[in-house]
Amino acid sequence: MLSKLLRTNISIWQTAAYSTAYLVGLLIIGLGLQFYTDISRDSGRDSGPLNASRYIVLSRPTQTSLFGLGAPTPITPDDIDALGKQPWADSAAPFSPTSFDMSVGISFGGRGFSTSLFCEGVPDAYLDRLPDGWGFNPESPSVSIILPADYLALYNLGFAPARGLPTIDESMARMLPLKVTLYGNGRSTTLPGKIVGFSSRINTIAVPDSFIHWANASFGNESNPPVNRVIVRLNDPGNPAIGEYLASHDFEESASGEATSRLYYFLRIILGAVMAIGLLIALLASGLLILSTFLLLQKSKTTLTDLIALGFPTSRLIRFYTSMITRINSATLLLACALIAVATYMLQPHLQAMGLHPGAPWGTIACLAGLTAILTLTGFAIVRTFIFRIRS
Amino acid sequence: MSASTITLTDLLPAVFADERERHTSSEVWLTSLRFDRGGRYLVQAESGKGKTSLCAFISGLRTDYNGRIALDGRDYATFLPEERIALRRDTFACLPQDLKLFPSLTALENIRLKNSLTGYKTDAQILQMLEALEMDELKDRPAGKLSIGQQQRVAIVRTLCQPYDLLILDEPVSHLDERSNRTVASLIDSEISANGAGVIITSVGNHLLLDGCDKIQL
Repeated sequence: MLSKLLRTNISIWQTAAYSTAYLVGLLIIGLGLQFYTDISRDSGRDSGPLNASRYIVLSRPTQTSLFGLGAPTPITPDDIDALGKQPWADSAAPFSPTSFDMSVGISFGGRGFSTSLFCEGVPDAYLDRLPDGWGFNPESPSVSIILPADYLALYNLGFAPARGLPTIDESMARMLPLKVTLYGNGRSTTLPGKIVGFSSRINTIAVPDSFIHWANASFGNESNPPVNRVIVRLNDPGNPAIGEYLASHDFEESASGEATSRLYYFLRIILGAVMAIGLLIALLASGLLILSTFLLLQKSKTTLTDLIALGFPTSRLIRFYTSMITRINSATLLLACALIAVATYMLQPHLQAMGLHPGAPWGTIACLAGLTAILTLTGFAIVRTFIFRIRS
Repeated sequence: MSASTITLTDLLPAVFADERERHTSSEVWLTSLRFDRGGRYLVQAESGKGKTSLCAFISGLRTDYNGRIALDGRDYATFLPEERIALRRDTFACLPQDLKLFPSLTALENIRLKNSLTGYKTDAQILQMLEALEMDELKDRPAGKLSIGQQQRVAIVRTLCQPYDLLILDEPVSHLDERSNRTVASLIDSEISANGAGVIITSVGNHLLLDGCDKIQL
């Protein structure tokens, strides 16, 4: 009977308008958040298209003399310290250069070749996942190598067909027995070598830092050869201040890093804008709920006053409205979650085709549930305040 | 909560605060007055003397007065809002002058709404009371479509659907003819006698024809 009486002032259209607006707001926020989570999760992987955006490799332009001979401008330890202290950078470290000569030989299928090799030492901390076999032990020296992923493609598409050599994939490459010969200081040695992984982030032939230090000490002609390249781990890849800093300090960024950095920046702006619009719509819907609740209570004020005069406890009257708000908000939330789950499922193959790794939308659903809980509690507070004011 | 005595001391509605001399002849305002459980009181006055205010003050609906009202010695000012609401549920049964029926509900639904709160009467007892007041045939009509006299009778039945120590009736028969007045008086008489309850009735002239009332001039 009480519900029948209090329901008479509830407008179906007002309720439907609120629910629809809130549903749209939740969907936009939810889908934006889910996509953002997928992108962010992906940037932590080694193989995703945006992984490089967290790292940049810097160098200084080569200075050319009158005779056409150039040398890169070295990067000093102070430069590296300053880079690591920038607000957009987590840390910076040099690629350790070699001061000795090195060649790599390989033989398979009765044929073989040998070539001079240039490599750089990469600190372990800049590899997200250390490949099996990575590292250096001076007691039984061997050289573990990470190659740029492009090199394998160059070999398979260019070198191998021209020389009649077989093409190889990554797992085969890891099994190739290499012989690495080091020359310098009138000495030489040959060590076993192994390709332990491929990287799309680090565009160099990377070996462990500890190997470079050991080999420079034994075969190098300089104990501290000048640093020409530095790797920086970013905490804010899209920050425009990065470009300004690099330009003002005469640094050059590898082109692919710059491109992905921009892509990441634009993606973030677009996703940020989408989520801001979703939040705005959800806030407007929240405003609509608050306004509708006020209007409903205002329309019902005489009825509520008369019920309190009859002796109805305020808790029963409050319960009617809080239960109504809970039912409407829960139904809207459930519908939004169901639609987001369906959309996530349908978008999954497309995102995977883009090289992304979409995850389950639990985090997004938890966020939307939190938002709805806050809105629901706000509605409760309005109802309680209004009815307590009538009571006294 | 049960009530044996209500005491008014120097009571005056706040709106009359600047015209105290106008109420010096009143037997209610600015005096000491007691209403006892089991007593029957008829408060008579012209319009605008504060009858409805008196009913609202005693039932705890309004607190805009100067002076003191005490229920068995406890000052009303110490009652919490929820306690005052509870008083109207189980201590004072009030019939407001403007009846406060819900027009969208039928006559019977209005009564059942109150009874659902207290569970005091059975459906058969409710129908019996409606029949006694010749309202049984109109019980399913929305209250908004009843005449004022019919609404008055429905509201009286609703008022009786709760436990009470004191029945407060604000001009209960102002729109009823003498025959209906006598029927209502008979119903009220039997109900308060059965409960041992008291009654305060206000009137501007058309009194409820209830025997044994002390007359008090407001």
